[in-house]
Amino acid sequence: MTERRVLTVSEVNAQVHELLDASFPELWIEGEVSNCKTYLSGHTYLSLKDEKAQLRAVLFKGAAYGVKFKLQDGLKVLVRARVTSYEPRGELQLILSAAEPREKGALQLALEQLKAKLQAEGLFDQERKRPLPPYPKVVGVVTSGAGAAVRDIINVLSRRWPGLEIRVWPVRVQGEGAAAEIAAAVRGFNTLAPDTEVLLVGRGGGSIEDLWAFNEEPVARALAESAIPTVSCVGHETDWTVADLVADLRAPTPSAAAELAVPEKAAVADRLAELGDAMAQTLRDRLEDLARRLAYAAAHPLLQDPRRLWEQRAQRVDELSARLPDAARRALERLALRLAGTAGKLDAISPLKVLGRGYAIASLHGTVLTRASQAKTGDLIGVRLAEGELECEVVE
Amino acid sequence: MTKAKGEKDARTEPFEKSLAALEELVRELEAGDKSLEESLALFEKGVSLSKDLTARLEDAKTKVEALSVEGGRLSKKPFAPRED
Repeated sequence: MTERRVLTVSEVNAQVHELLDASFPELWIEGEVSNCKTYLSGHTYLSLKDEKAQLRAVLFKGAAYGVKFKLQDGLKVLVRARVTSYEPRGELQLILSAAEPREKGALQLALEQLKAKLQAEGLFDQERKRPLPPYPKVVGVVTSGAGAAVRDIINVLSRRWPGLEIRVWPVRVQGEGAAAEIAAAVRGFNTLAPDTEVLLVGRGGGSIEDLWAFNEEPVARALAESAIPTVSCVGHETDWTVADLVADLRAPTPSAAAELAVPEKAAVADRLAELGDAMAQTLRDRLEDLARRLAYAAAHPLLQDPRRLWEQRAQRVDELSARLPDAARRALERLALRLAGTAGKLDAISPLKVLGRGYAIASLHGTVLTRASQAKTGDLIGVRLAEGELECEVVE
Repeated sequence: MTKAKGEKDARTEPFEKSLAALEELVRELEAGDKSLEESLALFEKGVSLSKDLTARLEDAKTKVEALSVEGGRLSKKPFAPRED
């Protein structure tokens, strides 16, 4: 009879753990990511699953450099992992040391993820884009100190807008560490040479791998934080790098960036000449106008010969004086006519006319007699005839 | 010879500010609501501004320098592109 051997839970878990660790080499496992969460500690916990089963997995912070993209739910991945267990819970667990996306390249996926993240943060928004200074005096350049890009930039800048101070911050533009150098140079301009008015950041053309530094987050962050307006110029006509999306302005090549950064001297000189001409012409027109008005006013007859002012009046007086006697005579004639007319009317109603027909007017002491009773016998009354007067005694 | 204060100030103004001032001045002049004396004064000022701006374009020499950090401090040296 064998003796019963009793184990604690911890002992079982420990034995299973040891067994698993010892039995499995590192494996490549294919599956879909789900329940993926990265904690503040930097460790990422997830499940890997297929149609029928799932496994818990962890990507510790220290191994995260082996994964160039961000693990996200729904991604099909190929992971390299140890099979082990999480002892406190006795759970089977994978510890990841590397991962690759199954459907596209890791770089491409990382780029898409970075773009999505920066876009969500609003770093590509048009409203963030600032205008470049129209007539800069100091231009900064972040690119390789060797090669065509920096030469092209210097040539175009000096030809178009002489008098410029060009500050070149030479950096590596490809390979390990290039992104950090580019980002540091952009920050360096902002902190150590903040009087720089515009920054050109880029490099000449190359393969997508050569340009990769301009797709990395540190460069994007430095450009986004730059207080100095930025022009990206990653020599690549077709694809936009992340730097192109974040910069205030994107130029397809370094030469094009230089052209966008400064005005052209000849054009500005033309503008100045135009303004000078406009000023002179305006003033000339103004003076001609004033001269014309002055000449017109000075040529007025009254100013030419002031006598004309009273000549007119004197003539009028003469004319009126000449008309006066005639007018007076006519006025008198009109009065005489009116008088004669009035006299005729008076004549018609005159009592003398009645006497002319044989009537007489009798009066006593100046009172005209109209009744016999007004006189007594013996009164002497006057009788007025048409011609002459009689004195008569009343008999009866 | 010391320059008049106004003239000296114009020299140190940013190019775009002086150019904008000139443009504004031309607009004022063209509006034609100023007295002749004021117009002449504006014209004189405009000519001086225009000369100053043109001179700034002409006597300009480009300076190219290389920036780097040495011991935490900014270092400036004359720059010439390296040949590959």
